[in-house]
Order: sequence, then C-alpha cells, then structure tokens
Amino acid sequence: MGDNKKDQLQGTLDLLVLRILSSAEAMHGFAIAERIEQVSKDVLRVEAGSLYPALHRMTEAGWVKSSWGVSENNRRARFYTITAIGRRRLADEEAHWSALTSAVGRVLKNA
Amino acid sequence: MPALSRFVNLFRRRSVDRELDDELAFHVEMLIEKYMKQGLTRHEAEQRARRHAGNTVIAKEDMREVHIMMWIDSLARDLVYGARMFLRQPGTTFLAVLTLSLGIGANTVIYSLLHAALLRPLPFPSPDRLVAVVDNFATQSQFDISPTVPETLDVRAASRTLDPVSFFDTRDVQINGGTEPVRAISARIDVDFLRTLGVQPALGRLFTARDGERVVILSDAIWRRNFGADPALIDRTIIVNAAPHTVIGVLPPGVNFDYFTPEPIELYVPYPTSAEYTSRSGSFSSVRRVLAIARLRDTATIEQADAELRTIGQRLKSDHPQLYRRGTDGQDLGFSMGAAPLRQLVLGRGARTAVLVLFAAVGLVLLIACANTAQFLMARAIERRPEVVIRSALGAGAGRLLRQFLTEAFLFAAVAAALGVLQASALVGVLRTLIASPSPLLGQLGLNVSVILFTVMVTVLVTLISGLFPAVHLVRQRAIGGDASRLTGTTRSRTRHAMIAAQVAASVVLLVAAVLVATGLRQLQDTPTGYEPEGVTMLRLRAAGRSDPRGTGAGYQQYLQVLSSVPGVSLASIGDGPLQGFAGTEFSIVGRANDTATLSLQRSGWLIVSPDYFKLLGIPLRAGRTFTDSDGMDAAQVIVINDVMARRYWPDQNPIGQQIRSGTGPRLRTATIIGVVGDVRPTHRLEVPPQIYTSYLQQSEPNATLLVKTAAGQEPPIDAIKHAIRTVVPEQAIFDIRPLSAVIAQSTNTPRLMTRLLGSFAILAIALAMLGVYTVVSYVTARRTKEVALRRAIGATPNDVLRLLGVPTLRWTAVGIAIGVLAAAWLMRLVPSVANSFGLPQESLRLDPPTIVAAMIVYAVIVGLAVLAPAARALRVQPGIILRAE
Repeated sequence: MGDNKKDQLQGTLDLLVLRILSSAEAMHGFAIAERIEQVSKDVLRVEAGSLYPALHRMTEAGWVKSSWGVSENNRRARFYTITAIGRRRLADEEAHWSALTSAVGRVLKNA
Repeated sequence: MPALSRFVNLFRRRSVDRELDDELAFHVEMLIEKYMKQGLTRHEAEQRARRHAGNTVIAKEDMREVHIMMWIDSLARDLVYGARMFLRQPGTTFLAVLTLSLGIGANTVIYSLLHAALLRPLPFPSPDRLVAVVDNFATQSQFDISPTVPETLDVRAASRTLDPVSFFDTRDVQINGGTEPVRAISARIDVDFLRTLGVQPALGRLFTARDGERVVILSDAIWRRNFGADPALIDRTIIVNAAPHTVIGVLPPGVNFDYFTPEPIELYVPYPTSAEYTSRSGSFSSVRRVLAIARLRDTATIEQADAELRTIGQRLKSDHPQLYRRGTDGQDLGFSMGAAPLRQLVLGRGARTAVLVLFAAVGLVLLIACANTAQFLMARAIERRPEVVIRSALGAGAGRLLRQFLTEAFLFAAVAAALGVLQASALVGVLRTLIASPSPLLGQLGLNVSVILFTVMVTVLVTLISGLFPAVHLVRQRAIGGDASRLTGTTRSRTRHAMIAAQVAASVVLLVAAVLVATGLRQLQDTPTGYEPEGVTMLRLRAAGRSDPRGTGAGYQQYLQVLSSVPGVSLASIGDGPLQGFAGTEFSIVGRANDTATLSLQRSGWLIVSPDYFKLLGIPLRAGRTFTDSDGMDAAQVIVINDVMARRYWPDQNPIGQQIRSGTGPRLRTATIIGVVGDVRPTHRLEVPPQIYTSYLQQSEPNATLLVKTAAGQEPPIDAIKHAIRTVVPEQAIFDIRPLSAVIAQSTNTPRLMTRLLGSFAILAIALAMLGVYTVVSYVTARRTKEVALRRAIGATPNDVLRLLGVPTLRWTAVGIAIGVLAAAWLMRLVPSVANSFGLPQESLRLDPPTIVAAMIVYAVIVGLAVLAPAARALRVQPGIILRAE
C-alpha cells in the first residue's frame, strides 16, 4: 500500500508517537505534537494532517487505544494511550531504528 | 471489536465525521491558544493555526480512508482470495457446499412451516391482544374446551380485563336465492364478534343489538360466486335454511375465521338471543359448541385476564354448584376458567408439537452439516499452514488472520445458503402438497422475508460454528514454524474424531426417530381393521329445514328406499364410516354398580346406523341379530355392541338381552342389547374400544353420512344417487363425496408426512455423517502415508495398516452410536406427548430392540465402508515410491 518513501516516513512518525506515549499517561493529539516539537527542539514539526491519520491507523492496528476525556483546559478531547502490542512494536521499531542509524553512521564515518 | 465498529462506520458516516471534526477542532483551538499566549491577536492566531494544522479536510478524508477503505479493501481481497482457494479444488468444494446447502435448505423449509404455523400473526388488527375464554375440567383431563353461552355472558358482564367478549359457533346451512342452491358453512355470531376481531364490512354494516335473527352478512367469496358481486344485494332477501334473511353486509376479501371448520365460512347470522340459548335453564345452554373470543383491554395482560377468569369461574362454581358436578354421583369435576392466546386454540396443541419436533430434527441435520463444513475448512486450513506461517511472519496479526478465515467460511456458507434457498423454494411446494388438508394457517406456507432472514441468521451461525474452529486452530498454530507433526499427526485428529462422534450420535437419534415413526405407521396400517372399504363411497348429508317430528330417521329411510333401485348401487346405509373411535360415551349397565369408579371405566364409542351398515362394510355378526326397519321410534329401544364390549363386560355371560343406559342429554335412554358384531378398529388406534350401535330410526341426528356400495371395479353412479335422493327432497344438499378408501388413507396423512420428513432427515443426516467419517479417515490416511509406507517397508501386513488407520475412527463411531442410542432411549419419554401430534397411537411408538439393533448394524456397516475405503487406498500405494519421494 502506498509508495515506499511515504511508508518510511509514516514508520518514523509511528515510532515517535509510540515513544512519546510510552513514557506518558494518556495524551491528546495536540499534546503529542507539542511534545515531539519540544523534545526535538523544534526540529521536528508534526502537522495535524499526518498526525491524526497516523493515530487512527495505529488505533486500528491495536498499538494505541483512545478514549474521549476532558483536557487540562476543560475541553472534550480524544486521549491516546499505548497498548501492550504497541510497546512490543515500539521495541522492535527502536531496535530497527538504532540498527539502521548506526549502520548509516558507520557508512558515513568509514566509507 | 474494530471490524464491527468499522462496519457501523459505513452506515454512520456522519457520526464518524463528527468525532473527527471534534478532534481536529480541538487541535486548532489549542494551537490558537498557544499562539495567543505568544502574543498574537485572536485573528492572527487563527490564521496561523489553520495554516499550521494543515488542510483539515484532507486529514479527515485520510482518516476515514483508514476507517473504511482499509476494511473494504481487505474484505474484498479476502473474498477474492477465498474464492480462488475454493476453486482450486472445485470437486471437493462443490460436494462440501452441496451438503451444507442441503442442511440449510431443510432448515429453511421447516422454518417456513414453523413460521406459518406458530409465528405469523393472525390476520386481524393487534392479533396478540386476542384471547380465547376457555373452560377446564381437571378431573376429566379436559382443557381448553368451549365455555357455555351463559358462562360467556357472565364473563362479559363481570370482566374488567376483557372488552369486548364475544362468541360464535358454526353449522352448515343451505342457501337459496343465488345462482344455484348451495350448502355452505355459516357462523352464528354474537353481535360483538366481528368487532372483537376488528373486522370492518366492505359493504353495508355489521350486526347491532336491534337486528333480529333474520339478517345475514356474506363473505366476499360467496358474494362473488353466488350473487355476481352485486352491490345492490344489500337489504335484499336470500333464503337460508328455508327462512328469508336480509343481507345487511358483505365482508372484505380475505377476511375469514375458518380455523375451526373444514371449509371457509361463507355467511354470518346472529347468534340466537332467546332464553333457550342464553339462560341457564334454557335447553341448549349447556351445549359446549361456541368458541368464546375476547380482546384484552389496553391496560391488561393475558396473565391478569387468566387470573380474573379463574376468579369468575370460582364464583360461577359456587353460584351454580349443580352444574359443575357430575349428575350421577355429585363428583367435583375440577372446573376452572381461564384465558388462552387465540393462536393456541387456532393451531391446536398437536400441530405445535409436531412442528417443533421437525424443527429440532432439522436442527440436528444442520449441526451435522456444520461439523462437515468445519472438517472441510479444517482440512483446507491445514493445507495452508505454510501460508499462515509466512503471513504471520510478514506481520499479519491474529485478528487479521482470524478475520480472513471467517470471511472465507462466510463466503462458503453464503454460497451454500443461496443454493439451500433455491432447494427450499422447490421443496416448500412439495411440502404444501404433502400436507394434504392444510389449515388456513398453513395455506400461507412459503418463503417470505422473515424466512429469508432466518436463513441469513443460520448462515451467520454456520459461519461461526464451522469457521471459528479451524480458524482458531490455525491461528494458534501459526507460531509453530513449518510442519512439526508431519510424521505422526495423531494428537490433532482428536477434535476431528470428537466431531465424528457427535455427528454419528445426532444421526443415530434421527435414525431411531424415523424408524420409530415408520414402524408405528406400518403397525397401524398392518393391524386388521375388521371391515371391507373396497367399493364403498361416503356422501355427507344434512337434513334441511325443520326436523320431522318423527325424527330424522324417517327421511333417511326414504332415501335408502329410492337408492335400492338405483342401478349400480348394491347396498346403501346411513351411518358414520368406521373412523371415529373415541370412547367418549359413558354407559351404565342396568342391575350393576353405577358408582364413580365403575362408570369412569365404562366408556364406549357411539354410532347411529341403519340395518345394512354391517353387511355393507362386511362387519360379521357374532351373536343375536342386527337392526331391522321395525326397530323404529315406537318399538323397544335396542342396541348392538361389538366383541370387545361383550367380552369385557360380560365375560362369562350372554350379553344378549342385557340392558344398558347410554347416550348424553336428550339421547340418554335405556336400551336392550340385541346383537354382538365383530370389532372395527378406529383408523387412529391399534386397540378397539367398546362400541355401541343404535338404530337410525330411534335416534335423531340431522348430520348423516350415507355409505353406498358398488360392485368391485365400478365407478359409483354419483349423479344417479343425487338424482334419486332429490326425487325425495329436491333441495337436499349432498357434499363431501369421497371413496371410503381415500378417507381412510387421509386419516394417516399426518403419520405418513412425519415418516417421510423424519425419514428424509435421517437419510440426509446419515449421508452427511458418512461423508464426515470418510473425510476424516481420508485426512488421517493422507497425513500418515509416509508412516504407513515406512511400516510396510519394515513388515507390517495390510491388516495392521487397516487397523492402524481405521480403528481410532471406528472406536469413536462406536462411541457416537452408543451416545445416540442412549440419547434416543432418553428421548423416548417424550413419546406420550408427541404421539398424538404425529397422528399415531402411543402404543405403536415403542423402541423395538431387534429393529433398533438391525438399524444400528446397517449403520455400522455403512460407517465401516466409509472408514475402510480411504484406508484401503493407502495400501495400494507402493511404499518405495513414497519413501524415495521424501
């Protein structure tokens, strides 16, 4: 489904979202986006147009689950939490990612 | 579960949209807040937030894609994939689909019967509010019987739960004034009757309390048939039973209340309101002929109505104690009143039981078919184990795989259901013709929306039962890499074998039931009847108009006289055919005890006959004499009894000359026994009850059956017979003309239908179980080919191999047979309650050990073949080839 590049980007966003959710209680989409920007020191900007489809896709896949609740400023918002499957997925993806980056790093350094 | 919610999403797009809108709106709000905190104006913040949030519409579409497109896409791919997999083995797949379709088809047909008989509402407004007012006499084991008219009127006056309360009875009448004189079924209805049903007239009006007795409402059918659908018929006069009646209304087409009559009701007249009928001292007031119906008030439930009627009944009992005790000894008859759903009375308890038994039987067939389907899908699933392992390695989750297998199972079941519905649409027609005399309820038998809905439900059920099994099995196995059990594969066949045992047990139960009913029917047909039906024709008569003061016999005597000179008629007599065998008339023997205990044992059948009756039917005279025409109104009252009665009550005595009191109501009289005749077995029973015959000249009865005997092989001269009778009474209606042999054959319609249906289901069940056994043994054999080759290479004999492959299945089959026989034996306790609804005497339905053992041996032989055939095939393969292939 879809082209390879998009898949890779999506995979990266998934990894980031799962990582954020893994170290937090339930978060709504806005908070997730903010958190990614904040931690990445504004390097990584997350658009709503890709964040929410990703969240819904991950809900379908069973990596995260969502429920409606009330936000810190008393608004109705959908909160996401990571599931056990999601945590396993995160571990896989993290391993994959570090293997990939270290491989890329080795190539850059030693070629 | 996501699959379901996604399905819901398809239909509830708007609510999904709203959720997404809410979520995005929240995001934008939060951005705006953030930017405003950074010092932007509201307007600037909004603009920037929009830009930053990206195109919300695109985001929404994307998300809905995720919801719906993914699902549809994967569903479609699963379906295509499943179809391709099935088509890879077209023969096996077709056979498997066909067997399941037979199971579904049978269920569809029987459900259409159940729906027509038990579920379809009666064709009146709010039919579930209609109830029948019934009487019960507990000590007489009489339940749901008709109340008397005075009782019904008391209920009408007292009830607060029922309104209106009404009643009717039926009788046949003769109508003149239309295109030809006809005899028709009429209903005498209380003024509120049609209003209680909720019927409105198509023309004219309904009865009111001010109408006299000489008004009539016509059915649509007779209005069209006999009165040319003339709208000007209202207020005109027609002749009903020789009396002029004014037509005041015509009912709409299709409105009928003909559940209790053999033919549709054609006209309605007011029920007489005179004290003769309505007061407790009236001469007809104790007759239990009416059906009392009522409507529940909006606020009342049937339980409340029942409780109220109980109270009213108790009050009637204390107000009129003499009416609810036996006349002879004052015994309490256990009287109570109650309310029953009208449908219960309309259908009759017997039919309900028969339909439920059939439904249970096809349910068993369906379970067997499900097990076969599960076996088939399981075999397919096991072939696909490598595929599953690969797919799960590629990231397909358990849920995804489970869904794929269920989709395939559903595809399979849906194709089978479509085929099953096709079969059912043909079979329903067959069933309709097999039910020779359908009640109006069953006339509606057919495939309709709710039958199809039922079939859809069955399809889903089949999918779950037969698809979940292999799916779960496979998904659980997906972790196991490769094929670990290639060589042995014994442990996993346990589930399959347990299924075999269940299939065998279920088919054995059906087989025993079919054998039971078939032998019961055979026994009924083989037991000597005691008379000769050949060449005898039955014609029914009803004396028209006012009865002759000398009784109805004088008229019939004239008929018999003119018939004796009709060419081709060798004998004619009056008297019901030898069909009713209900020993319902109590009698007492003059000079003997007449206490309750004695009388409750002294019951006999009671029949009015003319002298030639016995000769015409070939019933032998054992002692004394039969009637002559000199046993008339003014002569001494005489009766003839049968052998059983003579032997039972006068074992060591000559019954001739003894006197008994018998008959009910105005027919009660003391008579002398003048003769003993041979036993005649009633068509529905194996045993002959005591029988009393009385002379047609000494008892009056307007309804009569004329029997005419013609020489063997000759057609009865019906027209000449009618003509001869009409030379005596021109307006005599003659109807229901049938050969006696046909009447007798018809009396076994129900048991023959049940035998055929249960027999077909049993054969289907056995065939399906056989197929199941065959499939399992084939599977086990195929899996163990290498093992067998290895064993043979090291010296195992063919016998060893057959034992190895066949014995486990045979053992499980034996378990199944044992369970089946035990279950059948346990189910035998239902016989007393179902025998009657099958139209078979209880005593004919016995588990006959030799028959059952023979049936089981045949069954075991067939199973043996199904086991040995595939196992023997394994022997034909050269061991060397297989071992080299490895």
